[in-house]
Amino acid sequence: MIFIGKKEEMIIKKFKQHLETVGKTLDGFEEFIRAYLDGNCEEADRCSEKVMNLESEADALRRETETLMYSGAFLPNFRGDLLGLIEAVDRIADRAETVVRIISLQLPSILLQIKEEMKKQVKLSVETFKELKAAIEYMFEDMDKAGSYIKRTEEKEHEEDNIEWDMMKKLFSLDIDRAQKLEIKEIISLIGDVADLAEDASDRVEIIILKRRV
Amino acid sequence: MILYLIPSLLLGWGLGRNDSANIFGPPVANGIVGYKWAILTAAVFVILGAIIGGAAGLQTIGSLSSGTAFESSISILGGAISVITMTYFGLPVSTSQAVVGGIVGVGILKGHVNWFVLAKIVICWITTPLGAMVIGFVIYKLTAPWFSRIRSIRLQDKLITIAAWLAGAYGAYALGANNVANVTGALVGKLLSVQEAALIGGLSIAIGALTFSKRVMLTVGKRIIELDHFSSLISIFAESITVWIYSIIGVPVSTSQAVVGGVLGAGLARGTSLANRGMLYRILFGWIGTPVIAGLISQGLYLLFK
Repeated sequence: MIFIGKKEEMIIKKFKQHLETVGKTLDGFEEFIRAYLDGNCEEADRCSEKVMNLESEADALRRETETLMYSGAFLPNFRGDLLGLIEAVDRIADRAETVVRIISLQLPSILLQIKEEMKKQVKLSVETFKELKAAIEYMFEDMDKAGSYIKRTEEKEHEEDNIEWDMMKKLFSLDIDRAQKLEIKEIISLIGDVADLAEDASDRVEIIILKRRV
Repeated sequence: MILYLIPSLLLGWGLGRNDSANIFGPPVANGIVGYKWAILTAAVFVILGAIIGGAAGLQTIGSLSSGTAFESSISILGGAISVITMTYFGLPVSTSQAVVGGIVGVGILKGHVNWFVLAKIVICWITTPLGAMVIGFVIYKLTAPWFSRIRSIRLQDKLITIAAWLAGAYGAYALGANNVANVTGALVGKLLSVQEAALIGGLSIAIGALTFSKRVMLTVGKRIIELDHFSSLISIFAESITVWIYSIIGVPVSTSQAVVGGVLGAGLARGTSLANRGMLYRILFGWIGTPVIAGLISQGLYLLFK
């Protein structure tokens, strides 16, 4: 489609590459948590390294995309929106990396009672991102479809919120040391942030679409 | 002859500087169109508009008063001085209304104003913002459903960019066709033929467009682009169509008032009322205050130089 323009084509390609890399970072993050919870330290270490590398790769791709954006593609006010969006998406990978770093550093002993819930929470957080990813991918070509994925992102985030709250209630009802409770609480919250940040980014997509309404 | 032309050339230059902002201001302010390309396009299309479509307006202004070349030149000088002074004091001013005020001012002293032509001109002034409002409203209503069916952001952006260029070129053409009469119309039949008046007037407006300040363009542009891209484009199209229609009728009108009408029309179609009392006062002052001040200045100048 010559009519559409090469610069736009390149930016969309880079945007999608960035999304893919953040997606891979989150897959690595899920694998890490599962391995850690299953006590597979070797696998957890391997996943931790993978997450760090992919997060750096996402950062580099974000910078490249930002530079390209200011070379004149799309309407200027949309460039600002895109810039905000790519940074919002990048923050999701940053948060996943933070969780991996904190767990690798503190090596918390996650209680048996909430292990399965935590696996489910991580899965839901990653799924929330996947809905966001689809919303952004459709945003450029089909705003209606993007809108339906925004709704699904919100639904997934809500599901994640519920499980997060259940875990917190269970955690604080247990007869364990308060410091341990707070340590695990922090991890649960950080995992929840991944879904929250995905929802924040989907809000940005929603605003972009709303601004286009005539 | 050159001496008599100087006020026209000055007025044309000032008109080009200010009024091009009403056309290319929004797309330049929001970065859709580059500043250099905007002024170049404006200059080319202003000249084309003046030469191809300027005759009717030139004849109308030429017939407004049957004085000498000296009187016409003084009238234009009066108009030009009013525009400069009122702009300096931040008062709303329209070149069309200032020039007509200048011509009528001197014409009253000499007793040769064509009141029928003046009545036609005043009716056109009043219907300019109203007409642009109706046109803006109708175009918005007709095109918005079609535009909103485009669900691709890329395609939307591309169409907006192309439409901004088309609106700019068309607006510049309409400006040249309509407003050239302000610049050299008073000299038609006294010093210049219609063709000469169109060429000289068109060139002076084009030079104004080429040298106009980016600051004015951004100020005017940002005022209009409080609206979204689509609505601001509709406003400019409404302004251009209105000004173009009046160039066919043969009456120079205010592009600033036409763009205000266009903005209001597009806003109403969107369901938002952008009108306010200040805007109404500015338009009323343009209809009454500007020609009265210009008339008094040109009368003073005539009495001074005769």
